[in-house]
Amino acid sequence: MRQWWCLFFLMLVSTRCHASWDELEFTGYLAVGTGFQRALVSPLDRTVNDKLLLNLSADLQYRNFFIESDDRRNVLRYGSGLLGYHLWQQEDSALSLIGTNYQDAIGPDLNTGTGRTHLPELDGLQLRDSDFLLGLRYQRFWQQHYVAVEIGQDIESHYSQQLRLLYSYRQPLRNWDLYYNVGVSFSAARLVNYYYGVSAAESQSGRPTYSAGAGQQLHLGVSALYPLSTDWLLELGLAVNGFSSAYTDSPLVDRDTEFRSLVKFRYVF
Amino acid sequence: MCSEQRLVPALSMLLCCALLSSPLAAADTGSGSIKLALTPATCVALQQGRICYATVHVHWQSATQQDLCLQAGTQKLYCWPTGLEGHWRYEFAEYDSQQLQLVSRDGSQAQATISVNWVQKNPRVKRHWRLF
Repeated sequence: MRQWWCLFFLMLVSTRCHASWDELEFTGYLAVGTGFQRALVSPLDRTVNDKLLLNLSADLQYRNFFIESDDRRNVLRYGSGLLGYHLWQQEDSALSLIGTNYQDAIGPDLNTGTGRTHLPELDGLQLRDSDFLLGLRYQRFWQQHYVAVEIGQDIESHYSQQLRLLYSYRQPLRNWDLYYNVGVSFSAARLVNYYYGVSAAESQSGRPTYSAGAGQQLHLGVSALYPLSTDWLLELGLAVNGFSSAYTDSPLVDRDTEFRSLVKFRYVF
Repeated sequence: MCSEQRLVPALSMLLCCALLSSPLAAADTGSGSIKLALTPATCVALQQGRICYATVHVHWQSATQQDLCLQAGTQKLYCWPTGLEGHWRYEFAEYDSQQLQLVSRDGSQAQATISVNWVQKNPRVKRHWRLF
């Protein structure tokens, strides 16, 4: 719900006096595809694998207000967008207020794009809700390079902070765009503990109590985009995410690294 | 929930729709008895202002023996030995649409165009941000 208040507030700020629709740039997408993941918490694989991913999104810019669709430079998430407001903008760099979701929910009953999924292995755990971080992003482009620094405070679930550094290189190869991405994120102990900690009430045989400290993630990814026609895009993504011991020592976690891939067809309107 | 068996046909059908919606069919503007066909006749790039690449199959046919060359403007791309038909694989790489002509000693015999289109046109506000 808070996301919608943020969206409303940003639109209000952007539509003050002298509003003109000529300044609106809009591209909408209807994406359909499939993904495969090996998540840190293995039962979560079933929220993505063998399912059809259906996603309606948009890239929108109106004055300083913007909405960005899925981030091609980061395959950490499936079907997540970002909304924001440019505080300062030049042709090759910008400082923006942003709001976005980074961490998906973890729990025994999860809502996915294809309905509600029950994960019996996670019975007894309280729901760790998805987050929504409000923060600042500085980004800069030069030639085919892109860097971004994002820092955010969650207002939805764990009320903690995360810092993310991202570098991406775009290689045009004939009609393809290939993106090579590296990202590092630093999460406060409260965030890691919210998702990967185990309280006494949740503890059971084979699931001891666990209190997590601050943690780091390393993201390596490749994504590719190809124009099938003037209306259709093919999008491919592969990513490996490594995690520090604050994550991997959790009794909920049964892998040291996470693997994600996706194939999507996007209709552009 | 969608099973894997249902997922594969759904994605295949979608890919077919995507491909069918792109004009892969040959352009054909033969004058007289010479027919020139280009397949595909359209090249799609991600953004406007970017070189568009396509491997275009050029095919011409004639009822009578011909001695023909393929030209883009004044630039000669390929000449065939005398015959009733000709094939050639053209590695197209241009920013904009290009008209190709089949030329004999008597002048232009047929022409066809490779159209360049984009998924994303240049934004009204000049900036470096790319949508995709």
